[in-house]
Amino acid sequence: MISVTKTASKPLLQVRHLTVRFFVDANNAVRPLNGITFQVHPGEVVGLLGESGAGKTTLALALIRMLPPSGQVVQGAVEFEGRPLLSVGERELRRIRGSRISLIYQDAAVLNPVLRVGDQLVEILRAHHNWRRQQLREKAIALLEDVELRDVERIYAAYPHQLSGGQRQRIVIAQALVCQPAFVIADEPTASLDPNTSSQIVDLLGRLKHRFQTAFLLISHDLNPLVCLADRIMVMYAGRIVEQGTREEVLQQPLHPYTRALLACARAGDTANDGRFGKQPMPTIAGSPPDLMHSTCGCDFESRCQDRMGVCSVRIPEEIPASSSHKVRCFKFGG
Amino acid sequence: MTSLAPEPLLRTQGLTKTHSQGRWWEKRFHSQALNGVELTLDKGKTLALVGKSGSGKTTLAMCVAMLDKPDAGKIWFEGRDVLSLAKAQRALLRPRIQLIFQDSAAALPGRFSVAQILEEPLVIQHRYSAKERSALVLDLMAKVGLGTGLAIRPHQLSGGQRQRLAIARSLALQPSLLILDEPFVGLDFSIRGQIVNLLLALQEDLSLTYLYISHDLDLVRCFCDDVAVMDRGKIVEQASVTELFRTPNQAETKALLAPRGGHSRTDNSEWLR
Amino acid sequence: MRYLAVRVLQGVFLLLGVSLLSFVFLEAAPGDFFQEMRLNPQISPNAVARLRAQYGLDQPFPVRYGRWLVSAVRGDFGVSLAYGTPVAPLLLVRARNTLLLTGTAMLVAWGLALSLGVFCAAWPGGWLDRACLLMSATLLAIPELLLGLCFLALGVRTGWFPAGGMVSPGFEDLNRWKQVGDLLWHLAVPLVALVLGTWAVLFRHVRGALLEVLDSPFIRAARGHGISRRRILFHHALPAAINPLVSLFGFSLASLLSVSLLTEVIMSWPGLGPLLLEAVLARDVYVVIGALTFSTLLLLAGTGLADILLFATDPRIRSESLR
Repeated sequence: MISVTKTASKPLLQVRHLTVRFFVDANNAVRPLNGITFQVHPGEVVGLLGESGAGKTTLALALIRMLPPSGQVVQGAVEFEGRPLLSVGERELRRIRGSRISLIYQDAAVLNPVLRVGDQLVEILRAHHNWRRQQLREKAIALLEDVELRDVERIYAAYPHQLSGGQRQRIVIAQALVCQPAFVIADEPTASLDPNTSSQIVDLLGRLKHRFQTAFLLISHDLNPLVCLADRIMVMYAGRIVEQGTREEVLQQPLHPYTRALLACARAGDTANDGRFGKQPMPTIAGSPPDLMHSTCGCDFESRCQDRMGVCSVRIPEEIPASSSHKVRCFKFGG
Repeated sequence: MTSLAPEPLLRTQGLTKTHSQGRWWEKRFHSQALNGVELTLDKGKTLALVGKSGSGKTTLAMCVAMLDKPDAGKIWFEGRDVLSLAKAQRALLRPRIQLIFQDSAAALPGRFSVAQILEEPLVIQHRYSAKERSALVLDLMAKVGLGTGLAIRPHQLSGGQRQRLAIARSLALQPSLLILDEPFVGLDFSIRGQIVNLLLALQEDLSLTYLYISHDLDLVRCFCDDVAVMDRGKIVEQASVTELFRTPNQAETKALLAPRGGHSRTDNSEWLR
Repeated sequence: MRYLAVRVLQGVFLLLGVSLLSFVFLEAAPGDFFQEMRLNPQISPNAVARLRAQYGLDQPFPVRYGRWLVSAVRGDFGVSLAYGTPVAPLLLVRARNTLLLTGTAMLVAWGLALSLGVFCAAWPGGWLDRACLLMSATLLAIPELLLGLCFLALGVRTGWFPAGGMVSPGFEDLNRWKQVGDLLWHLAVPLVALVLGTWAVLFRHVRGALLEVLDSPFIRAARGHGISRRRILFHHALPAAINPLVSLFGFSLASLLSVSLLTEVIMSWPGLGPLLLEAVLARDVYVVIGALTFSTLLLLAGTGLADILLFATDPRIRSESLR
C-alpha cells in the first residue's frame, strides 16, 4: 500500500524546528510546540497521534498562521510547495488558505448557522475563483456528491441545523476539499461523532484520498482513523514529536516508552481484541501531562516513564533514526 | 438460583415513557422513549446499558435516578416500590442514587471552588459540624486521588481531574448506586484507564453498584459484569459480559458488536494487537 | 399560522387591559373635567350636572366603560371634552406627527448604530472605536431630558433652529420642496435629541453582538478558508449577528415611543405627547384613554413588525416549523 517512490519525490510540506509560544504576559509563556520537524509528501497521509495538551491543534493552526493573538512562532520554518509559509504576505496567504492548504475541523460549529450550506461552499469557491454563479453552484453540488451525501439539491438549500451530525461533518469535509487543495489538515475529524458515523467518515476520507490524491495531516487521539488511513504516524507528547515512522513500525514495533504505554491503553478497551473478559484494572500511564507553562531541562515524559534513566532529567533527547524511516526521541536508543 | 438469593438492588418492570414536544396550539410530536423496560441490577455489580443513540438509555437513567417520572411501570430500589412512595420518602431515597455525566464541566458549578463543591452535599445532610465537614472533604479528595488545591475552580482542572471531582461529590452522599452516563468519552486513553481503575477500586471498597451507560461497547469488556442491550425503548438482551460477547442472540446485539464500515476494525485488527 | 392567531389574541388582551386600567386610574383620580366649572360661582350646579349627564359622566363606571368599548370597536372613540370634537380624528393627526418624528429617529439611530457598530467591531480598539465608545458612554450618562433641553437652548440661542412646533406659519403657501425643507428644519432639534439617546444604546449592542459573532468558530473557519475580511464581515458575520439585534428593534421602538412623548412636550412638537399631557391635566377622559390605547397599538405594531423581521431573517426560527 505504501509506495516507496512517494518518499523519493520532493516533499510537499517541510517543517523544521517549529517552536511556538503563547505569551501570557511579559515573563510567562506556555510552550505548546518545541522543535517540530517533519515532512509530508504529495498524496501521503501522515497521522498525528497524541493526547489532549500535546499540541496537535496548535500545530495545525500554526501551519496556516491562524494562531490566537498571544501565540507566536519564535523559531523554525515551514516550506510549502517551495514557498516559506511563515513569511509570505497577507494576500498570498489568503490565496493559499482554502485552495492549496485547508483544514477539516473537528466541530461542525464551523458552519455558519444563518447561511445555507450550499452558499457556504460557494463562498469558499468565490474567494479563490472568478467563476459565474452557475458554475460555482455546479461545482458545489459536485462536491456534495463527492462526499456521498444523498438528496444533494435539498441539502444544498438547507441550513446546518436541519442536518444530522454525520451530514454536517461531510459538509465540513466538502468545504475543505472544494478547491481541491494539495494538502489537508484534518483535526480530529471524527471526534464528535458516534462510532458508526465515525467509521463511515473514515471510509469516506479514504476514498477521497484516492480520488483527489490529496496529502493529509490526520490529527487524532483515537487509533481507528490512523489505523485505517495513515501511511506514516507521528506521536506527539508535550509539544514534541517523540516518535515517527511508517504505520507498521509505530503500531507494531513502537519504540518510545510513551508510544508503547499509549498503545497499550488504547487497545485495552477495544472490543475486537479477543482478549480476556471480566473486570480487571486497565493499563494506564501514571501521573498527568506536564504543565507547559514551565520549561524542563530534561525529557518531558521522564516523570511518568517506566524506563527512565539518570540522563533523562538532565538533557532533552535528540531524534535518533532507528531505521531509514523510523525515528525516535529517547535516550534508550542513543542521543 | 435458590430462594436465598439476595434481592437485586434495582429492578424495573414495564417502564414506559413517551416524550411529547410542541406548545398547546401546535401539533405535538410524540416519541416513545421507553417501551416496557425490564431491568435487573444486582448489588455490587456493574451493569452496562448499551444501545445506539436514541434507544432510550438516558431516559431510563433519569427515571431510575428519580429525576423523571415514567408514564407506566414499576421501579424497585432496595426492595421498595419507588413510584408508590410519598414525595418525602422518595426524597430520602434520592441521595442513594447518584449520577456521573459525560460532560463534567457542565455538571459542576463553575463559580464554586473544589472545596465548596464537595462540601455542599455534606451541608444539606445537616448532620456534620463544620470541622467534620472539612475533614470529610479532604477524605473524599484522597479517596479519588484528587491532589489539587481546595480553592481551584472546575474549569482550571483537566478532564480527568474533573471526573474525579464529580465522583468525589457523588460519594459525599454515600450512595449505593452510581449511574455513569458515558463518563469516559473525551478523556485521553491514559487518563481513561486511571478513572476506570479508580471506579473499580471504589466499587470494591465501598460496595458500590454501577449502571454504566454507553453507546459504545469499548471498555464494557473490562469494566462490567453484565450487559443489557437497549433498542427503541426496550431491553432486547441482558446477559453476562462473557455470554454476550461470545454468543450474542439478538440482531441488535450483533449489530453493535459487528465490525464497522469498509475499512473495518477486524480487517485492521492485526494492527491493534 | 396558529402562532399568528395567538399573537393577535395576546395583543387584543393587552389593549383591553390598557384601556381598562386607564379608565380605572382616571376614575380613581379626584375630580373630573368639569371641576373648574363647579368652582365658578356663575355657573349653576344644575348646569354642571346637565353637562355631565350630556357627556355621560354621571353613569356608573362599568356602564361607561362598556359603552366606550362598544363604540371603540366601531371606530368611535368618544368625544373630546376640551376640543368638542371626536377623539379619533384628533388622535390620528397627532399620531401621524409622532410617527414622523419617531420613525425618522429610528431610521437615523439604527442607521448610525449599524454602520458605526460594524466598523468599530471590525477594528476594535482603533481610533473610531474608542471615539464612539467614549461618546456613547457620555450620552448614556446624560438623561434624555437634559439633552433635549440643551439642544433646544442651543437652537434658540444661535437662532439656527426654531424654538418649537412642526411647521412655520404660512406653511401652506410654500411650494413642495420648501415645505419639506421647513419640516426638516423643525424636525432637526427634536430628532437630534432622540437619536443621540437611542444611538448610544443601540451602538453598544450592535458592536457587542458583532464582536461576539466575530469570535465564533465559523468566522475563524471562514478566515481559514481564505475568504476576505470584508466579505466575512458583511456576508458572514452580520447576518449571524442579526438575531439579537432584531429583538432589540422591538424594544428600542417601545422605549423610543415613550421617550418621544416627553421630548415632544419639551420641543412643542404637536404629537401624541402634548395631547396626552393636556388631556390628563384636564381630565379629558376619552382623549386620555384613546391616546393610551393608540400608543399601545403602535407599540404592538412595532413588536409585531420586529417578530416578523426575526422570522424572516433567522433561518433557525423559520425552519423550526419545517422539521
